[in-house]
Amino acid sequence: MSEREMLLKRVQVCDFALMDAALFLDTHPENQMALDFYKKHLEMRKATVDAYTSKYGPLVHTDYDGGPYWNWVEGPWPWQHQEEA
Amino acid sequence: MWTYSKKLQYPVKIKNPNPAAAKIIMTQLGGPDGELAASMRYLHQRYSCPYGEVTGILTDIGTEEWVPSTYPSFEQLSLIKPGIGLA
Repeated sequence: MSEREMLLKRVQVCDFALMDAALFLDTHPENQMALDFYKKHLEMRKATVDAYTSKYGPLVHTDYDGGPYWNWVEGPWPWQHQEEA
Repeated sequence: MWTYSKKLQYPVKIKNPNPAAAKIIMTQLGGPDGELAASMRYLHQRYSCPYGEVTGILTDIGTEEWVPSTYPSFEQLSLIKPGIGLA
């Protein structure tokens, strides 16, 4: 697994954990254990997204780095098979 | 993956109910040539598009066209009570 794939996988893991915790928190807004869980994964996600976008480009178009080139539409797309890319 | 933000793309405030205007706008949103149908066409066409930058813009436009269908204010435009269409 390349570093790019590893970082992306970590973002995916964090996003899944965050989404799941968010669903729980929607109906348990004061649950401290869930809030801590959310916070922990949110911090991990922020660090991982920073590492990913600085090297491999944007995950959302607002990740634009301010440089001279717009690389948002560059592939491969996340749902694209390797052999199609 | 698609996500949503808890903010509007453009603020809408309905001052007066207007069923005639509401009918036009609802057709524009959900009708046969409406934005909802357009967004689905863009998002399907992107998969067979041979040009990378066009695939990109079809994905972005297809996503954007879908956004107004999330505005409840347009439905409230046709309601009797003014002032509840605060977006």
